Amino acid sequence: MTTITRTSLHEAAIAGEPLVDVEIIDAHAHLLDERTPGVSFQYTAPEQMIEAMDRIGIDRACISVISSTKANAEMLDAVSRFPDRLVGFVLVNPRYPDEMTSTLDWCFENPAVKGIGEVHPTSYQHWYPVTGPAYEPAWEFAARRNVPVLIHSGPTSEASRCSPTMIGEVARRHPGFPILIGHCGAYDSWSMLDEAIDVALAEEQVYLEISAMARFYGVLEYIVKRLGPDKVVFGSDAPFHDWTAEIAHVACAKLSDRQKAKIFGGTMRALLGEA
Amino acid sequence: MRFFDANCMVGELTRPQPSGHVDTVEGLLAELEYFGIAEGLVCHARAAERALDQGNETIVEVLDGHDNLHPAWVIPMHTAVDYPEPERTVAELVEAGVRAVRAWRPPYHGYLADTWALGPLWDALAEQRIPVLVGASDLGRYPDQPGHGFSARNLYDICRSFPTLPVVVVRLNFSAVRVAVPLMRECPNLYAELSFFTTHRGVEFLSREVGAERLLFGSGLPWASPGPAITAVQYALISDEERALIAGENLRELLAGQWHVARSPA
Repeated sequence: MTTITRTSLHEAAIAGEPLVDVEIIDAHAHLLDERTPGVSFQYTAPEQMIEAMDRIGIDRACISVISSTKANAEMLDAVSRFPDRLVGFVLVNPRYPDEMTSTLDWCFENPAVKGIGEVHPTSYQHWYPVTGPAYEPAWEFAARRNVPVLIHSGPTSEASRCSPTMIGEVARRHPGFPILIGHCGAYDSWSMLDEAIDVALAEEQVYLEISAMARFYGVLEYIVKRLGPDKVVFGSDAPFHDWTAEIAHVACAKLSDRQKAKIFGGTMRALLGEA
Repeated sequence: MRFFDANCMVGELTRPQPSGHVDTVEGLLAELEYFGIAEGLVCHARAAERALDQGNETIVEVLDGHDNLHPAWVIPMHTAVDYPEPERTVAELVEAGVRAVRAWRPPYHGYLADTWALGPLWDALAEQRIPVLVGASDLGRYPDQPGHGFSARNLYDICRSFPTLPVVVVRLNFSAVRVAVPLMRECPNLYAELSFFTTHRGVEFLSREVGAERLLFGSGLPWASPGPAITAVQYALISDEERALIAGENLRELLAGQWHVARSPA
């Protein structure tokens, strides 16, 4: 029988110990109410989210609200109360393009706000193509400030609004700020994952965030083999998904701890302008 | 913590993932060792995808000599036509050391849950208290996917029709919480396997709402890695006693022919 070597991060994770020897920044988390029309969540108050982060050893989470930009006020309240643990990302809505710049100006007055997203062009949210003109104020704002933008991509059924190739088109038109392709551009599709990797290989400013797609066996190893470890960042999509499980996609991957450290936080720290 | 994987498979897949997959017993053993998993309940891809009898025969053969790997046979959803002598089938599987069966997801089906349509095998399995792991249920459906299996109503009917039969929903999905919790309260013989249950602090929540004795660790191999389900159990803010139940003790009891009647919700 072939024995696979365990790293110290793997050992700690499967033992349920906090991962204290590595900086972990979740690039993709949300602040949601417990009762939403679609899904019932539990323990989603900021204090309860942080309790869950502490149990695992997650240092910081980039949080955003969904649906209405009015809810950005809740994000601002949370990051103001926990500026060392929560990083604000601003929701923009292309259905209200005239409000986009003022929303961004308002939110970025708070120093704990450091990114834009989750931009959500799919039917779950705003149902507007990511290449459409209504998003232009957001791309221009991001370029002026060089702040990261997280864009949802996937699943296959939603590709007409935000495929990895379309996000690559945004990157070519608007250089000067990092773009994180959410869910590796795939969610559930290996062909869209390959498409996202191709975009990240072609566009210097494009990175992959791993939530959802990483649930398939060997995904992270596959991405690192094709793309390398430097343009891949850990994301959970919490509370849609649970940190307790999502952490394993990186911690238990058959990669070196040095590679895992980049994915867990090293790369995202730089994208937040903190390197 | 002695983890016992309720949901793993060996054998060549018709549609392997580009990242590769574990297909041999040797490969499975290496993967279980990597994650510190003590035991596995294993079915064969040939049975799940193509040929029930050949695959079921093969899984018993390839696991022979591996005391920590336990064979699970695959049965069709409806057994009235294929198993006219259910007592003989159950006697054969017991003789072969099989203590659980999996009702696998067929690509096309009507999913009738009436006892006349399920067939007499389910009665025989219930009599022997041989757990049925149901892979095709809408409780395991990802929210982006269309319904493709037994509905919650079907599961309710099955559990009520066979009250001594342990029924395990495989790959409970986070989006099913609103249905799964009341369903499990109504059906004390219904269990949930957690290889894809990623609800935020979901293990804590389900342990509180339906009891840890109703939850089973599973990996989802070869399509998924065991890591997330292990860490979900290990990091959950539950007692170590509850953790041990979910990790493996519940499955060991089920395979021994024992099962809990769930504690009544408060």
